[in-house]
Amino acid sequence: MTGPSDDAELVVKMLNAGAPGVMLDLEDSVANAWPNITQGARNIIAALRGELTYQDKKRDREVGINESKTVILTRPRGLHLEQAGVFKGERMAAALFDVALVAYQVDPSRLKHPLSIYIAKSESADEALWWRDLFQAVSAARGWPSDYIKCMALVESHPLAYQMEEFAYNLREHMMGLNLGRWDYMASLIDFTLHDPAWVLPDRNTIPHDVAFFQNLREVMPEVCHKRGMLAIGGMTALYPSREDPELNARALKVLEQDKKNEANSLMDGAWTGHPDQNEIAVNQFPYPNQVQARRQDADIHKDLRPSPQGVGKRTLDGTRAAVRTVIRYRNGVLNGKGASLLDGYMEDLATDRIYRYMIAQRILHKVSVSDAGGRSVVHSPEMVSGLFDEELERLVAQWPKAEAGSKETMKQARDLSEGMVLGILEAQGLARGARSE
Amino acid sequence: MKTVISADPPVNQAPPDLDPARDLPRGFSEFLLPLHRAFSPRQQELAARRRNVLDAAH
Repeated sequence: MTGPSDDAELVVKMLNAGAPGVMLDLEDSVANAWPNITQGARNIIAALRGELTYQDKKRDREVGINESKTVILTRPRGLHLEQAGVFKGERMAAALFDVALVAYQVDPSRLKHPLSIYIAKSESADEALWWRDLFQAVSAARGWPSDYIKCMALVESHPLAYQMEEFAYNLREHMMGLNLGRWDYMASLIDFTLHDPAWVLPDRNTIPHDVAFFQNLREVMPEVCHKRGMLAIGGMTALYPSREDPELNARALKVLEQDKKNEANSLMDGAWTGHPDQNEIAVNQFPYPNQVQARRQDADIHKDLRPSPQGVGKRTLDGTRAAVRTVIRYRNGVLNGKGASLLDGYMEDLATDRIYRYMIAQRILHKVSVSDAGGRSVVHSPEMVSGLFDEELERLVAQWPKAEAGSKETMKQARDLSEGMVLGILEAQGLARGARSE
Repeated sequence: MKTVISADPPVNQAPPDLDPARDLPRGFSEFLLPLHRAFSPRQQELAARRRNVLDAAH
């Protein structure tokens, strides 16, 4: 299971949910602000010691972590992020700050769960050497064996998909396995193909879990991992079960089962979940305890990792509208201290927000034409998308979603920031001017 | 005129009145500083390399 580390109740619940591994996140599901990161680190340290608790207000009792062999992985922020102000006027690698802050405060002899690091957002095998040297420098400074810190790495960028084996090799004294990211990987694919009209993706929720650009990579990763005795871990199904909505619940669990079965058939050893009701179904689809000995006779680690998505799913105005609505709501959550939010049945965090922003930018850039509800052709332009932002803001304010955080003012701010970030993607590619309609 | 927001990720800023000796675990600053000197410049180089790789793709 995985979830934000700055929410003690959620951390305790994840650790008591029976999952074989729990990843405590300081990155995409946490608002990247000082109070959230430092609170997350405190929770992680207490969880590693088995001492974290929360107050159950309904039952008026303190709840702690049950004894278990659950592996805890700490996800520090990625190498793309910097932390400012710890030393006056200087910026440091945020990943360094996070790893050091946790490692400095733990004593392996007192830990219920050893220190393991989950490396995200990598883009090249050379970056593994940064992490290797950091783990060994921290261990030397703490008097630990040089290979004490173990790790798992997330493959969620398109360039890294071509360098998985080299990345793992560079961290060979530390590496437990690789994990196939899903949403950030798709965003990275768009980032690298933004100029190519053949790569305008369909609405996110019409892309099947076994689409070729994932499936090919899903079959390469276990071969790379199992050859080296490492685990290959699959992704998270974003559609969440619901205890209030039986139809959504049944649909979500069916999708989950199909998704995990496909990963198991691809020789993956397990997968991440984000909701306790996903755990049993997910675990049951994979051979116990893993299938690390399994190899395909016809394995091909040089599969095409960029097969065309043409003919997959649908591109609709409703899809763009849903993307606009989600990025506004996600950013409203961030403005109110929430790095992950359950929106319309899907768990949305920075990774899914990033996909939606890229999808919207991609449709503007290529002037994608779709049909509206009346069957009329509508072309994506900055002005048309700006209108969608206005309409969805108006709708959100008029029909305030249940349990939505914040106020009209933060929602308006979220709308403006989100549109600005879409334009920022276009500008970063040097394409914003050309994308604007005359 | 719409505001364009950089695609670069935002930087997390510690509170302006942060005193590492007072506000962080005792001795942590001394532990962190040599690591920062060794690893932050390398992180910046790697981040710059990423930008070059992406630019070359377009």
